[in-house]
Amino acid sequence: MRYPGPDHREVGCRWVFPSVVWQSGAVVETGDEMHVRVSSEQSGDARIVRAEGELDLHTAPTLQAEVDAALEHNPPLIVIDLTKVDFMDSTGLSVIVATVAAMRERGGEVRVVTGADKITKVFTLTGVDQQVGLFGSLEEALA
Amino acid sequence: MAVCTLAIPPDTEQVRVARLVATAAARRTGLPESWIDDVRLAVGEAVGRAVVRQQRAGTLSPVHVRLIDEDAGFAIEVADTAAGIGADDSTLALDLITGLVPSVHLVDQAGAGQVIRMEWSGDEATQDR
Repeated sequence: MRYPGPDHREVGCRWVFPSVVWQSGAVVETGDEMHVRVSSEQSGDARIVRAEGELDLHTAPTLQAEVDAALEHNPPLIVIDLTKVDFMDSTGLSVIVATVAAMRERGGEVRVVTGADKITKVFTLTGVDQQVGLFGSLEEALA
Repeated sequence: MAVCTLAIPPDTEQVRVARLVATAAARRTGLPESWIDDVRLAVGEAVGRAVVRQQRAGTLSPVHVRLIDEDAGFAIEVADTAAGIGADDSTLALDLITGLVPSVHLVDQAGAGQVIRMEWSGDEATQDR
């Protein structure tokens, strides 16, 4: 087990073979198969929220909880990193739309790193790409 | 024409099962690989929407998914039995489905639920068959 520091959160959701235990603020060995894993960390003024796996009706609440925790830090910028997301549906997209609205109320901004074309497509088909900045890499989003 | 039918419990966790089976069925029918991700996302949206509708209606009846291998292409029908509920809270699911699928029909069964029929057909869908 490694302890990444007090500003790092990592939460898992639904393992088919749950051979692991997740603890607040700690990263424990992963299981055989997961649907989604989320984590967050501070980078300068920005709060980075990362997701990995599949974001759908069942797992989107896990991302929502991580975003809610990020909002509590009152950052001026939240970067949602979807680089390692293999699948995202409209419920995952809804979490991002709600985050954009919440950050606008606070005078903040949300940027999204989309990674795969199939994830970008979810934003463009729904027009959400007009509401939030999409970036090809985390470095670009933080620049 | 070959038809496979799935009965999915109205449980959000089971939507993934429908995605996996529909994707496998689409590949088996010879649908172009470039369309497989669209099938995966569209069926996930349709089944997820149906599961939410069943939950809102308070019914434990399954969502029925028909995977149809037709001469003209591939079709998926997703049927719920939710009655007496209002409009969807969000249109994102239907926006995505209509953006992903060449032909979509939404049929309201007069108080007995809804059926979404999604069709991938035409020359491109059948060229490798």
